[in-house]
Amino acid sequence: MPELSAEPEALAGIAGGWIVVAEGIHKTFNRGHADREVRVLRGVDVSVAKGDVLVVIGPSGSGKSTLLRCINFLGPPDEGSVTFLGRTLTGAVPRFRPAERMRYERELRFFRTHIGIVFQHFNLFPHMTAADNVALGPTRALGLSRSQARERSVAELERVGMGEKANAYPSQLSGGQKQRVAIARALAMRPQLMLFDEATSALDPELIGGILEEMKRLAESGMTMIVVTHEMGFAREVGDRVVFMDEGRVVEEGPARSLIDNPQNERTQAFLSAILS
Amino acid sequence: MTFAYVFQWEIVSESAGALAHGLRLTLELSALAFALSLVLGLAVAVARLAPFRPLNVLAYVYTQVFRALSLYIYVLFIYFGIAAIFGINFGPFAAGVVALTLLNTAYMAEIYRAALLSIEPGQREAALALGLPHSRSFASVIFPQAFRTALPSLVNQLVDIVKDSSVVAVIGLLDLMGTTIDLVNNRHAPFELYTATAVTYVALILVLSALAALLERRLARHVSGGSAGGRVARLPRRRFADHPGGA
Amino acid sequence: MTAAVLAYVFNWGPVLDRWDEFLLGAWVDVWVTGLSFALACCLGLGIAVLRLSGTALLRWPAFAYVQLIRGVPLLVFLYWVYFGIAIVVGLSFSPIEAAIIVLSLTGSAYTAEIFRGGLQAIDRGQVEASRSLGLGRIATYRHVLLPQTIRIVIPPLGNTFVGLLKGATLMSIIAVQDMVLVATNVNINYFTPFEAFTAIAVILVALVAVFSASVSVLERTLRLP
Ligand SMILES: Nc1ncnc2c1ncn2[C@@H]1O[C@H](COP(=O)(O)OP(=O)(O)OP(=O)(O)O)[C@@H](O)[C@H]1O
Ligand SMILES: [Mg+2]
Repeated sequence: MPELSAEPEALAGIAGGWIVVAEGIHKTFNRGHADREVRVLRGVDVSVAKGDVLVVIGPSGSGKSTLLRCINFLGPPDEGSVTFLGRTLTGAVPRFRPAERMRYERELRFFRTHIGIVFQHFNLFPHMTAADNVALGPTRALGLSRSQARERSVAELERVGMGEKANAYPSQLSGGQKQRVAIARALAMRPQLMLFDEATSALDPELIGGILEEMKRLAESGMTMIVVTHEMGFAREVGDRVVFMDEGRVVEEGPARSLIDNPQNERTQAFLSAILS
Repeated sequence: MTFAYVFQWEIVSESAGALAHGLRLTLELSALAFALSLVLGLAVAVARLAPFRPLNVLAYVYTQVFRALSLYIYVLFIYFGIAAIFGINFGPFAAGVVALTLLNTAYMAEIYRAALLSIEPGQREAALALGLPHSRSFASVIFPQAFRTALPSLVNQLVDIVKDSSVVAVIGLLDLMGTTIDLVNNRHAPFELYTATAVTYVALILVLSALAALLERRLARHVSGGSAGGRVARLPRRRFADHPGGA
Repeated sequence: MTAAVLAYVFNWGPVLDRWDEFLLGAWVDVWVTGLSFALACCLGLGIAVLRLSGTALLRWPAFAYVQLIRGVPLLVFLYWVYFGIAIVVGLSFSPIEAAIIVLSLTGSAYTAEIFRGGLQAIDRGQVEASRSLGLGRIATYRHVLLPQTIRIVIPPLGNTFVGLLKGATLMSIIAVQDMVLVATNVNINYFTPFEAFTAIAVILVALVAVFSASVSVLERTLRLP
């Protein structure tokens, strides 16, 4: 599937070196049901340059998860566009035009195969071993042969220290081990952008450090990442930039250290002082 | 293919009286079998849980064996087999009642058993602690709760009984299905008549299912407003049964 | 009463002499049920997927189908197809075709609800994880949803199979040569109703027991660690 590979030459030419640019993202749940309508995102702009780590913080319900799901179109935005590696996609699906629909689906697949995501609750496939979890994407979406995928899967598992557990089922793994497998699963797709949605929130305290360490190592290897987290230490140390979201909007944005040490907006100040105390 | 069939729907309206009579018989047969298996099912369930091993085994074998047979085989067995042995001449109605009761007693015993087992042991202990004898604590503490839990499933069993009861037409009972077969023989409009009967059954089943659903919602509301902190036992929903009945 | 009991002379000869016919008849019940069950599963899965569709135009007909089919007694359905449809459409089904049609359609309404329940029981995160890896809708069903659904639906599908097997005993009424017809013929020729119908009762109980045991084994084999 040649059209799916992101050629390195193409990356160099991306305008301004942005890997991803999301513009004017709006998202409303239960649209049209006046009483249950929730406007979760109300015009969000974020962008990440190659190799950067963007940390997204904000109170519960502010729309952080929803934003990530808009970026990889797991939950497409109602308005706004996402430009990823120079390709722009909106939430408007050309429903009744077959040719355009096919093109849209192809673009969608490009986004999905080149953007990795790690979920708070791991979402490992319980009926597959760790190795098969990791190999599924490479075989079914990238078209690798079984043996190639297996090789890649074992290599990725070893990279996150899970080589020993390649044949274990998710139910036989601890939370931290599950999350390592989930990271390996996303990385096996060789993504150009990694999304982390509170990857450590469901973990026992003693396991959090290990996963953060893994993420830090990934960032140091040059991976472009968007990280939703409540771990301010990590945000400050590993993050390049931070955005603070509240009620579906970006309230404040800036370099990680200065924003966390020196927030300007009073809502950011309140949030940080609450979370750091 | 030349499509030359001329529908004769007027035969259905002309037969409405006979069909209504058949429907009444269907309802009587179902209601009687339902009432009987409601009582006998409880007896079998209690036998299964009683602190007396041989009784448990007996009740277990009954539920396993009698659920495995189809209603048609019951009907044949009772109407011809038992009748021949004992020289008793069951009419089709009696044979139908016995057959439906034997099958559904086994099903209902399982429903009751699940409901009884879902009652927290603490309830029994509390009743015994009040000095109630076993039988009293069962009658006034355990059973009322279990029955409430079981009721929606039990009513759903009525749905199966109504559907299954159509099989009794095979031995000549003039219930809704039997009447229809009779009418078809005389009026030669099988499509129209069987369609009308099918629609009647569907309507009846939908009403009964809706009733069971309503009951379930009512009881759920009622129970959850009850004892503080008490876990409400609910059987797995059987609104959508997973098998087409005993047939 | 006692005299009446004594009046009946047990005669197992006719039944025992025809054990092979009984087994052959039972085999007809089994294969008709097996085929109908397989068709019912395919059809039911499709209907379940429609039932879960985001489009009301697909969801509603599927819902209506399930409600309608489940309200029709098997015997009525069998007569409707075998006698009713035949005369209208002008083509007639063989008895066994009619039985298979009726059993698969009836079964599909039940399997549809079972599959729907099974699919709904799976965490939405599974679909998201699969889609995030670039798998399409169909690949997600095939590699992520169905393997998990199968494990959930095996016990209730086993009940459906048993229900269909019991339903299949009705097909002798339209003259399919199954075990019930064998028993009925033995009864007519030798007047041994008790023996003849006991024989098929025993066969049916045995079939159900063997089948239930196989389902348990299958369930245990597929159980995840
Ligand atoms: N599928 C949905 N249907 C309806 N409402 C939804 C849906 N998904 C999310 N929401 C609502 O959208 C709002 C934002 O959700 P989101 O998960 O994006 O918040 P978050 O910032 O990630 O919060 P948290 O820190 O708790 O994860 C919440 O109020 C949530 O209830
Ligand atoms: Mg979230």
